[in-house]
Amino acid sequence: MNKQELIDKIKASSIEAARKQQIIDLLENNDLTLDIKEQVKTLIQEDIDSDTSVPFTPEDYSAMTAATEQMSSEIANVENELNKDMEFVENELNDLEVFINDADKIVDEAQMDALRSKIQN
Amino acid sequence: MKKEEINLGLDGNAAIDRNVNQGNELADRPGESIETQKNDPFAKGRERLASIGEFFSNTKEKAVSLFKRIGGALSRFGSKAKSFGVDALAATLSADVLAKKGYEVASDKVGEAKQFVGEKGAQFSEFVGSNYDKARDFTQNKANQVKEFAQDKVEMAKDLASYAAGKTKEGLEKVGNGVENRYNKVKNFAENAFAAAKLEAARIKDAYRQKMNTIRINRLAAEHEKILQEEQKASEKAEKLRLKRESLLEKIGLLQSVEAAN
Repeated sequence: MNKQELIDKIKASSIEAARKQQIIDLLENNDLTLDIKEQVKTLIQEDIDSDTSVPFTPEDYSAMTAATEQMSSEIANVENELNKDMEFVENELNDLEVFINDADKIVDEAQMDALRSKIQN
Repeated sequence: MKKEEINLGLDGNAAIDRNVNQGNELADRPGESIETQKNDPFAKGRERLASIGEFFSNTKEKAVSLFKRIGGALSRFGSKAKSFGVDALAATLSADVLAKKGYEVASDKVGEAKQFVGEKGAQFSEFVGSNYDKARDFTQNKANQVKEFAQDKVEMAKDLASYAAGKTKEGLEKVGNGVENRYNKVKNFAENAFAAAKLEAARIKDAYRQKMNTIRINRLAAEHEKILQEEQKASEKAEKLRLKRESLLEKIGLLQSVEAAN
């Protein structure tokens, strides 16, 4: 399904009018990137969740709570992992900066050597 | 027939009444807001999903700033090395090499090499983090990459020591290339880590939505089934009423017939 087909499908859907327009605007003005897809999915899910007439039972609430807790915990793992990776990256870049500074000093020394050599010649 | 016998579960009020009645049961569950569950059982999940978006945005902002800073240092180093290259050559090369042609070739070479480092430094400041194809096997390759970084550091330290000892143009180029290579690798690592995390978060979100929607659809299906059963009961009841009414009418008719009988 291409983007236009998706737009047509959204247009023909029962999604609430304002939300539908929001989705169409998103799709029409952007490429179908992961971020845009996520935004569209979020809006569609909001539309689904806006139906408050479903008579959920206590069992449903328990299952929903469990699903939300599991999702929260999995998302926390993703955050922790990325934090660790970015900390590693930061350390690597800091090391690289120190290295560049060291190399920079040697360039200065080399320049001094060159000047000395020029003067002597 | 009473309205609620037929309409149970059909309208929003019935659902709300039922949810209100569940209040006492919900109150027994610690750590959950009854109001949130009653009014919007999806609010907590939505809030959590929104927070991961904010987390990614902050992480990216920090990464962009970090890479800009080191990219800037790299650019400055490149520029300095470039200007040094020309000065040093002019100062140290022999008269023969300083002949016009030779000087030009040599200084251009140094210039190209250092300009390359400098330009790359400027380009590196852009942190993208959205190459999802490359990010897919990031987690599997992460350990190898970390190992590679450690090996690169050892090589770079050797190159720097060698340049410090000889201070040659080649030595400087090697150092410059090493810096560029390492910057590139760290940037790829960061971008892949970021994109991989976003992919994983998207997978978790999809799974969560699927679970929540399954609960919703199952409840709707159960309610539909219940209504169908209730309608069946209602129609049986209506049929009984119809028969009763007919029987009553028949008996009333009989009474009238009795009265009218001579």
